[in-house]
Amino acid sequence: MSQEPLPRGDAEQLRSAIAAHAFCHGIAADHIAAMADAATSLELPAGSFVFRRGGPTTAFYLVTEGSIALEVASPGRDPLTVETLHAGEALGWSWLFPGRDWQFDARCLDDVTTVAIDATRLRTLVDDDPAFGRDLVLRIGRVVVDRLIHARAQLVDIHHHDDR
Amino acid sequence: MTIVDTPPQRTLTTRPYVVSTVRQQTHDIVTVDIRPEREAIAFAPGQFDMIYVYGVGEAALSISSDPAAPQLLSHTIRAVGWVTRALNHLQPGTTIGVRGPYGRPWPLADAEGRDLVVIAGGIGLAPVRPALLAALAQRERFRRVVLLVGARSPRDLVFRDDLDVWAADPAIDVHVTVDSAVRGWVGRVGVVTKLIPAVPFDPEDAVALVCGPEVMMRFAAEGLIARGMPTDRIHVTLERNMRCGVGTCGHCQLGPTLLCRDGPVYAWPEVGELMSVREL
Amino acid sequence: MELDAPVLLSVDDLDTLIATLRTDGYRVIGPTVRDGAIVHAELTGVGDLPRGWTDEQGPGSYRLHRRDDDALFGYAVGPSSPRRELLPPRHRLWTAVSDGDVGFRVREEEHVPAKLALLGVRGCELAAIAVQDRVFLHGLYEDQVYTANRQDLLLVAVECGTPSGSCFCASMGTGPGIDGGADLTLTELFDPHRFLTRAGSTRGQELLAQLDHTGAGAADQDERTHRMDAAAEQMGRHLDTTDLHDLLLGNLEHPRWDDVAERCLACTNCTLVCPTCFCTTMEDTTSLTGDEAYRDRRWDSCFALGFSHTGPGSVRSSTRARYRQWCTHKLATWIDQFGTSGCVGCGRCITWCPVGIDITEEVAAIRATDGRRAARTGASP
Repeated sequence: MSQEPLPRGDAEQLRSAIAAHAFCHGIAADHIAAMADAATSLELPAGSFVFRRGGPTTAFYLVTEGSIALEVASPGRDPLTVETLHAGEALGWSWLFPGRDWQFDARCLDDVTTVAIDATRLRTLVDDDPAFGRDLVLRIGRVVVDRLIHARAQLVDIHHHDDR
Repeated sequence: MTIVDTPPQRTLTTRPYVVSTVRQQTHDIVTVDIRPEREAIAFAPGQFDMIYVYGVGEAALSISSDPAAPQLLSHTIRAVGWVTRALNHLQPGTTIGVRGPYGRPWPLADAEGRDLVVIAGGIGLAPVRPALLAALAQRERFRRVVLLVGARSPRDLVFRDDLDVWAADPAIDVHVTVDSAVRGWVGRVGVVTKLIPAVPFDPEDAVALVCGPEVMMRFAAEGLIARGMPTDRIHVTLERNMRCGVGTCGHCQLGPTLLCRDGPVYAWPEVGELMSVREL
Repeated sequence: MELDAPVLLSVDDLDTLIATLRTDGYRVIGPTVRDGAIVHAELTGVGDLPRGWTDEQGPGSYRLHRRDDDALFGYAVGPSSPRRELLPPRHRLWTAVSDGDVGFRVREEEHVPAKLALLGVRGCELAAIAVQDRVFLHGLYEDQVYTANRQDLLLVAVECGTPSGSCFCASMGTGPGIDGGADLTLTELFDPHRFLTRAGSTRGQELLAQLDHTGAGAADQDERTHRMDAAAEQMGRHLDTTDLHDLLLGNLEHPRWDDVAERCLACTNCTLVCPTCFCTTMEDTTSLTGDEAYRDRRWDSCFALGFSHTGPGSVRSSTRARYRQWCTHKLATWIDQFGTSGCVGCGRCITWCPVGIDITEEVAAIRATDGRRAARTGASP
C-alpha cells in the first residue's frame, strides 16, 4: 500500500464504526467483532491514494467519511474518473480472490476515513464460518451487481442522445 | 407588456419573437432568450413551444425559463437537426416564430405539502428548470426540495450558474454527478440514478419530476420505486417527433397517447410499460 | 334521422338535383370513371356518373367491368375518399414575408367556407367523415382548413348494393345500409330504375321540395331492405371485432408482425387511400429570392421512415414496427385517442396494397395464436 497506516484506534470504536456502516447492516454482533479484530482505522488526507492499480489486494475498505475517486490513468492524458465512492459505501472486492491485484487507482478527493479489514484474515473468516461467508459474499455480490448496472448505464451513454 | 392567459389554439400560425440573447451552455447547446413582438403568453412549467426559423422549419422545444416572466422566454436547444442547428447560430435581433405553449405541465401542485424531488439528465434540466424556479418562488408550500443532476461529463452540464447558486441556497438540496470526469472535477462521478438511495427525502410523501433520455428515466423510476415511492407520484416527460403540437398531425403517438395532447408529462403508470416496448 | 316519409327520385330527378346544387353555387364532387378506376371528380350531371360500371376488388387487385344494367352506383368504393376534399393532400397555412433584414411578418391564408356537395357517399365514408370530425373538430384544436371545408358540406349518400371482395363494413357497423348522417340518402333500385330517397336534415328536405318526386310505397321499402340484406351477405371480408383492442395491444410482440413485415413494402399506399388516416407533416420552402417563406401542410404516412424521427434517429425504424403502428392505431389505440375505431371497413387498404396484405387476415392470424392465451396457459401449472 502506498501510505502509512495511521495508529490503530481502539477495538470498541472500530466495532461501532463497522456495525454502523451501511454495508454491514444486520450482520450478527459476533461477526462484527471478528471483522473488527481484523480491522484498522485509516485516516487519509485529500489527494492521497487508498490503493493504486497493480498493488496487492491486502484489505477491504468501508468508507466512513469523505469521498474517493476510482481513476484510470493513461499516458499523456489526465486520469479519468469512472466513479466516486462516498461515506457509507464499500470499496474493493478483488480481495476475495487471493493473488489478485487492484484494477483502479483509488484517490481521496477530500480527507477520508475508512475502516480497512485485512484481506487474508477476512478470507479465513469466510472459509471458517460458511454462514457468515455466504452472507458476506452475497453483500459483496449486491454491491457488484449495483456497480455493474451503473457501469452499463454509463456505457449506454445515457445522457448523450437528447434533443429537448 | 400585456400577458395573455389563454393561448390562441385556433391557429397554426406562428407569432414573431425577437432574439434577445444567445447563451452558450455547452459546445452544442445554447439557451435562446426571446421577447414577443406583441403580447406575452403565460405558460406552465413543463410546456413546450413550436419554434420556427425563417425558411428553415419548426422544432418542438421545452420552455426553460421562469414561468413568472413569460415576457422573456427561453428555450434550451441542442444542435441535432436543421432547425436546431439554425437556432444554435442565431444572432440577437433576429426574428423567430413561436407557437404555443402546448402540452400538459408538471403537476407541481401535487407536490405541495410534500417533498419535491427533481431528477434531470443532461439537457433534461431545461424542461424541469421552470418547475424548480416556480417551486423556489413559493418555497414555503413544499417540504424538502431536492435536485439530482447528471451529465455525461462536467462540460456537458447545463445551467451551471443556477447550479452554483442553488448549491449555496439552503432552500434546495442539490446533488450533481457526472458519468466520467478528468482532474479538476471535485464532485461526484457515477450515474445520476445512483444518488436516489443516498439523498434525504421521504419517498412515501414525495413527488418526483424526472427528465432525461428514456433509458435514464427508466432507471430513475425503478430507483424511486425501489426506495418506496408510489408509482403515480413519479412523473416523466417524453419526446417524440412533433409537427403540429395540437393533436392532429399524428407524429407524436406513443401507443394510446398523443404526446402533444396528453403529455409530454406523464405519470409513470401511464407510460412505464409503453416505454419498455421496442419501437412503439 | 328521417324527417319525412321516403320518396322516389328518377334518374332525371337526380340530374336536376346536381344542376340545382350547381346553380346554388355548390361544387358537386362525385364518382366518375377515369384511368380505369372510379374516382371522385367534379360532376356536371348524371352523365358523368359511372353508368353501367362495377368494380371487382380483392387483395392487391382492382378492375372495372361492365354491368348488365345501367346502374349509376353499381360499384363499391374507389381509391378516392371524402378526406381529399376536406383536408386536401397539400395546402398552404401561411407565408412569412421577410423585411429584407433579420425580421419577418406572417401573412395567414384565408380559410373561406367552401360550398361543397359530395354525391355518392357510402356508409363507410360517412363513418370516416365522423371519425375525422373527432380529430379535426372536436379535439384540443379546431382545424381551420378542415372546418372551412366541412361546415357547410352537403352530403348526398348512396347506400351500397354491391360490396366488393375487399369490403367488411358490416363487421365495422358502418354499412352497407345508411341510418342518418347525410342530408339525403339514396338507395338505387331497378325495374324501373329509381332512387328511394330519405332526407336527413332540413337542408335535405328543402332540396327534395325543389324536385318533382313521387311518394315511395311499401314495396319500394321492401326492395331496399332486400337489397341491403343481400349486400350485407356479399361482404368479401370479415373482421371479428370481439375484444379487438385488448387482443392487439396484448400481442405487440406477436411473431405475425415479423411475418407481415417480410411482405410489406412500407410504400404508404394503404395510408393514402384510407378515408380516416389524418397524419400530416409541415413543409417549409422559400421563394428563389428568399423574400418569402412558405409553410405548407401535406399528408404524411406512418409508414415513412422519417415519420417518427427524433434527435437520435427514427423511433420506428423497422417495417415491423411501422406496420404494427398502423394496424394497432387503426383498430385499437384510435379508440383510446379519439373514442372510436379508426377503421370503417371500406377495404381500400386491402385492394390498393401492391402485395395484397389484408388487415382482416393479419388480425385473424393474431387471434388464432393469441399470445396472451399462450402466456396464461404457460403460467398455470
